[in-house]
Amino acid sequence: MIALLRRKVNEIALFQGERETKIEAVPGQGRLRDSVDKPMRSDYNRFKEFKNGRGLMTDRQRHIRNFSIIAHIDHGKSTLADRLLELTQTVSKREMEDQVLDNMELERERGITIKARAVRMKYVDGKGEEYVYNLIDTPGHVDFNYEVSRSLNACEGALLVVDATQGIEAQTLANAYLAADANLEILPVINKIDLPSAQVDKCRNEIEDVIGIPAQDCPAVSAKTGLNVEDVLSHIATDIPAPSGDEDAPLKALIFDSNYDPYLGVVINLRVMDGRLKAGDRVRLMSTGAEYDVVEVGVMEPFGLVAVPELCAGDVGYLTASIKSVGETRVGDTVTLAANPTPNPLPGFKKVQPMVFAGIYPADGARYGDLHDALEKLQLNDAALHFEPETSIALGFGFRCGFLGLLHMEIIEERLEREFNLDLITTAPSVIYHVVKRDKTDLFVDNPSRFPSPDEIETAEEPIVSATIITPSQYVGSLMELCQERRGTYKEMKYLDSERVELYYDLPLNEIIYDFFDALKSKSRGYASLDYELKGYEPSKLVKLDFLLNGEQVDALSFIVHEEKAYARARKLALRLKDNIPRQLFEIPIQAAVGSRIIARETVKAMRKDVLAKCYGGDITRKRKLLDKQKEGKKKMRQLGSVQVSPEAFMAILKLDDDE
Amino acid sequence: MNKPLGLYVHIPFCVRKCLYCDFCSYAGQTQSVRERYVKALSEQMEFYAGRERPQVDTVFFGGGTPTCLEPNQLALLLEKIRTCFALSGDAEVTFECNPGTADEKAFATLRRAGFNRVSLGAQSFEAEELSAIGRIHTAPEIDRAVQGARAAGFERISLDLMFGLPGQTKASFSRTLERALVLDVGHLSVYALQLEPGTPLYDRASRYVFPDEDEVADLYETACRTLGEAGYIHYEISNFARPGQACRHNLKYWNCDPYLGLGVSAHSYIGGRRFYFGDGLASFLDGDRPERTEVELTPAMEKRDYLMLRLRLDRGVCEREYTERFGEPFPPAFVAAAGRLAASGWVGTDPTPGARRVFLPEKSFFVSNRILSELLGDEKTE
Repeated sequence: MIALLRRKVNEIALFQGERETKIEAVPGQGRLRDSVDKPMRSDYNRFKEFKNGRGLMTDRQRHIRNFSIIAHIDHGKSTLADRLLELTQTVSKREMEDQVLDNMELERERGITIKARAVRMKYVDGKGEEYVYNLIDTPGHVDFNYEVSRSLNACEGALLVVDATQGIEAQTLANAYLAADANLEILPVINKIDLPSAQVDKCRNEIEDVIGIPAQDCPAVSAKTGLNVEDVLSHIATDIPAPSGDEDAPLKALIFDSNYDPYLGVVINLRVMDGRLKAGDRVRLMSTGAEYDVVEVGVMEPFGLVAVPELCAGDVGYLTASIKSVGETRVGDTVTLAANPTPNPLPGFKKVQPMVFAGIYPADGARYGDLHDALEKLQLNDAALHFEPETSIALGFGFRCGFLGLLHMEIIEERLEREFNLDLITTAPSVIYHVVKRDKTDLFVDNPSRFPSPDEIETAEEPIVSATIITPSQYVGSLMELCQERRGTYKEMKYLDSERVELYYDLPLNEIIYDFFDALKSKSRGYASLDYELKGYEPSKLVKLDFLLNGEQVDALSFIVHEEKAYARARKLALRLKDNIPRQLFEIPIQAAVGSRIIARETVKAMRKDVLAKCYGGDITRKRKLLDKQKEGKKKMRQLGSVQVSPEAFMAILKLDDDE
Repeated sequence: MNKPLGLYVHIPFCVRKCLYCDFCSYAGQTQSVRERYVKALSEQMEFYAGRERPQVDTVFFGGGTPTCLEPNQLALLLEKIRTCFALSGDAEVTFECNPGTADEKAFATLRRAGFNRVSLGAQSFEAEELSAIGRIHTAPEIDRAVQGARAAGFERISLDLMFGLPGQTKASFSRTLERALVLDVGHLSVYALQLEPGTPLYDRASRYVFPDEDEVADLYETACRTLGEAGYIHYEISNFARPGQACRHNLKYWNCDPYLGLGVSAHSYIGGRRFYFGDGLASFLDGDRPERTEVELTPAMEKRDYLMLRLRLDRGVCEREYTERFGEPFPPAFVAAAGRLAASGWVGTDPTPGARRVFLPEKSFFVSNRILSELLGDEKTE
């Protein structure tokens, strides 16, 4: 079987034009190596040192390991991290709580990692050698791939956790590609071997065949029970290369994350590549040229920051310098000393571009200012979040926000609601469409209400993604049906083994954000996994679907849809409007229209009962309260034309759910 | 211009609590508790009447089930009222009565004691409906109670009926209405069942089949039509009366006239203040009966309460009366909203100069909450 890594790496190489060597996996040998007799990967570290024009590492560096844990979602990444922290006694049993690194309430609740986070531990091997392990935790979801890349660039190795009951999933592959792209040593860790359905040997073979890295003697563990996790610790020391870098060269440090602390200002998380850094140094952030005096340097312990006198080449740590906003620090930027700058800054990362857009409005219009402040605060720690003010006739003042994907959007919404106590109305998510009008004006439309009318459009294009689906073979039929139904273009299908299939489809992003993931899960009983990346724009027959209540168009309900889907979606949403718009004193006709053509209609019947039958024994408080409640509710009501709709009903109308 | 008071006396005892009831009542209390309660009420009467002996022209014993007390206890309380207050000779004196709790003898005793109006909790004449909501009486007992009250000399009799009950249909409700009409009483209260949190019916709602919103509205329309045709005036959202038979005591609530409520959970509106007593029976018996107020009434709230309550009546609000009371014409926002709603027929207006009137026509009664919130929603209440 051809290892997919090669194809992937070649693609990346072609795309970036940076890499000359082609890496391929040689099954059987189980080694990832350059195809043209370049050094084997075990020699890779020396190769990298050679490339960097550097000599041998210091003894201190020899005892440092910088690594990430990467995995498909739910394969046990955070649990493994917990066990490592516990075994190295970085966190005592008493202090142990689940998902130590996921300290955001939301992360724990959902069992996911959203923000990358670093932590330092001490490990003593069998010979009594003491090591410093810097673990940089990464998110698992496709929306946060950019966070993964950043973290990987600060490491020499990555633990690739694979669930022994599931095998390789779409994001296992995607993350492995990212790690390979960052020249990391990948150490597979087979997890969940305590489960009866674990198939360890099969999993080893799969890792070798599909990803093309040796796995026969990789650790097989149960992160949950702690079984064999010791092996992981020893493999980290033996398999993952130590960092190199010249401590005496000019400072060169990579910013891989930064977050805002109300007392310290911005805390820059960095990996020192060359040189030394200490409090009092004047540093320069090379992309902006801004200079700061370092207040403190230190390392990240699980429960907080610990200051150290100095960070040297190979170290992972932080610096604070009374920086006011995360906006001043760019992830991927190079930190150097103002007095002795490095001549070769690091290449930096691509700025992440949002792919999914939605209007976010405060349910209570008076809280527009609060929403603005909240978004600004979230943006301090989330460079991928974009927002700009927008106005809707129906919803008033709000923001058009850009997200990496649906999960990112959901998380931002939840954080706004929880951490800032805001009630929100969010419009249906949209992607960016490219429209050329007949008058040759070129538009990128991220808000459906600004989509031109059919007769103004010369061409319209929509974003297409290359999607990879890995699924047990019995679901292939229904998943192909799903992809077909979502306007997918079949590319390729490969059997990973006799039971598992990898499907490649090109799919319009707007179909993916329309509840594709849930449909995929329900059609595969939760077994299929999905990964995708933007491929480009392709022409498409797109129309804007408008909704009219009582004859008046409601801007916030418009969305863009492929011509063929317009009728079904129109009927579905019209029905949902009917079910969710509370009955009012008058009958409300609902119409769905493309241009001036009505393609679906429903009616909300007039209300017939809204009464407090009894004012018993002169107790009028209930009646008064009811009136007050209605009044309070009325304040929040959104006027959709002549129709009043509560924020809750509005959200129910816009909620995406399965087509079936 | 001191208007005479309405006096409400709450009797918080029941043989058994009905499944829908969230009013303050206690089942299974001992004779001695009831005696202590009567005594406590007497104390409250003395306390609130003081030396002034305020004028009282309506008395209403409600509950609970007032007839859970012995007839002579009720008689004693009424006598106490006469001693403490100046009860007008033509006062309306009502007691509520569960048809299963009074016989002809009891009615006779109460009539002799000075009660002149009976409000019978009939609710339905359908056996299944009665048992579904946990009533302790049967349909024949309702007939017997009406006959008994009449025989004892009660000329003013009211029946309470309910609709929206589990399993109730248009046909079954029509039968109930017909049975009530046969009894030829002067007054009918027809209430929509309200499911109140904390009641057994609410907690077990999923086990019952309730008529839906449209069906309940149909039942209400059936009552309006049937009773209208039978000559009853629909004088309040839930109340129907033959001419001259409207309940004068309840009218005080809707007219914002003063009333004093005594006993646990009773509400008062007196001297521009609204207050009530707590639900707790034990502390009440122990003499701990503080007046509670939910909010201090502001002038704006008083105006709003007045409009809200008056609009429950078929005659609605009259600007002249409003001006006499508050010293200013109708609020402009109210007039504007009334004009808007009048255009679509939801509100009736009578433009007679000097006596401008705003009222809800019968078709608006059953959506009155919504209309009130339109009419009063824009008012500045503070």
